[in-house]
Amino acid sequence: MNRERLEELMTGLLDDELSAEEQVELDEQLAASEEARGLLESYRSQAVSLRALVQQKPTQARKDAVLRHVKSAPVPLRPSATNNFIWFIGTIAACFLFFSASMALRPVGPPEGRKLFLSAREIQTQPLAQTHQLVLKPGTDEIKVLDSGDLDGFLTAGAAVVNLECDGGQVKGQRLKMRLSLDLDGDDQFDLVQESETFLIDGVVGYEAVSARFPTLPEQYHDEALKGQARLELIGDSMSGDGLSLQFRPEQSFLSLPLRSTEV
Amino acid sequence: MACVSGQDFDSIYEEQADYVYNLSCRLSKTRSDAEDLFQESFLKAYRFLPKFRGGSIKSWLRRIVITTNISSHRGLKNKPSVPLDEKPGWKESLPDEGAGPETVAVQTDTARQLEEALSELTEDARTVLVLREIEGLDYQEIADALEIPKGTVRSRLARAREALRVVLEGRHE
Repeated sequence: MNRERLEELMTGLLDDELSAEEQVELDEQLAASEEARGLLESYRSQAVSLRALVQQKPTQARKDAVLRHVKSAPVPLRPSATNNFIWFIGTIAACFLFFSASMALRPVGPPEGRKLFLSAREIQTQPLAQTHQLVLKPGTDEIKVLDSGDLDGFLTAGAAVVNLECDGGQVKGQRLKMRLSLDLDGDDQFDLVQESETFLIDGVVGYEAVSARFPTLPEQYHDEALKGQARLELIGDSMSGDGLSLQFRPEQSFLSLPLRSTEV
Repeated sequence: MACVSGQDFDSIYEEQADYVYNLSCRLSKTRSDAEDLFQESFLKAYRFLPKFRGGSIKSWLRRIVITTNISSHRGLKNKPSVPLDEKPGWKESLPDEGAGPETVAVQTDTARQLEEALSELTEDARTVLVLREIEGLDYQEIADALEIPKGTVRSRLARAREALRVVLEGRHE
């Protein structure tokens, strides 16, 4: 047995994380080697000393100073309504430019003139979105929460873009993709189901912006009078390698968003 | 907790400041790092408290301290780990109450050496040791806190324990 393996087995022993086979393997080594026994004893002693370290405490003056500093610092909790509006307009403008550019490159383009909005204001009317909390449930584990902030997006005749602010929080699986289903003619049948690429939510504190671009819509819908609905699903995958897949709870499996047609 | 008032934060701060400070000290190499981590962690806690969804406030704060510590080291890779005017071993270690003078001296010296040795470990090694030995987290909790596979925890702990042993042994020679 090499040294590295021995150290790992001893760590497993100290933390009560050894399998029965590993226990046998380690027992044999301990019985045969005085050096191994000494090493284990030093790890044990080290652990006891670490646990016995006295707790460090801040002085009252330091505590007071930090509290004052924290409470006097500006708190950028959420973008203001004005910032939201500016951001939304900016996004629309950027995507309009993208759309215009893509149309210009097409040999034959459909008539332009309609946009559909999935806006945060529309979502406010949805029960799920009132809490701004999307609950993900892995197959057999406890419920995890993916916290969703602002969500908006829009469709042009050519493409769909959905912008989402989200915080992985304590979600174990922090890969995320979006599935967008569109009923473009109001017959309660989804005419289009598309999935975005997978995004990595890296677990930093605070919200992260994800922007999903969906492939070009079929041409037959480019100049339709749009009056249907959109369904947006968020699908999480585990990063931990144990095959866990995160999905919405059945009763909260998607956001249903009204489509609104606006002349541009 | 949908909305948290300033008063709620005050009571959380009062209850958890000592815990966060101690964790900040254990995760940091120097006093100034620990002070910064302590303050920065509560700044984030104050900012994100309205988004706290319930559960253990202590676990939530622990996660903030850990991620803040990791972020600060990601951004300061080129910073000298130990400032010239601040040597390791800064942490005051108090012996058991009621211990005799000789015992007190030995305890103090042992704790001081241990803390100095901890400060010489890599960030990864010190963090995993602190979470296991001082925080008492199990492997799954450590894996969740550090966002690493559970299977990695044992090997990382083994390397950390061995590294600490080697440093301590070097100090005794």
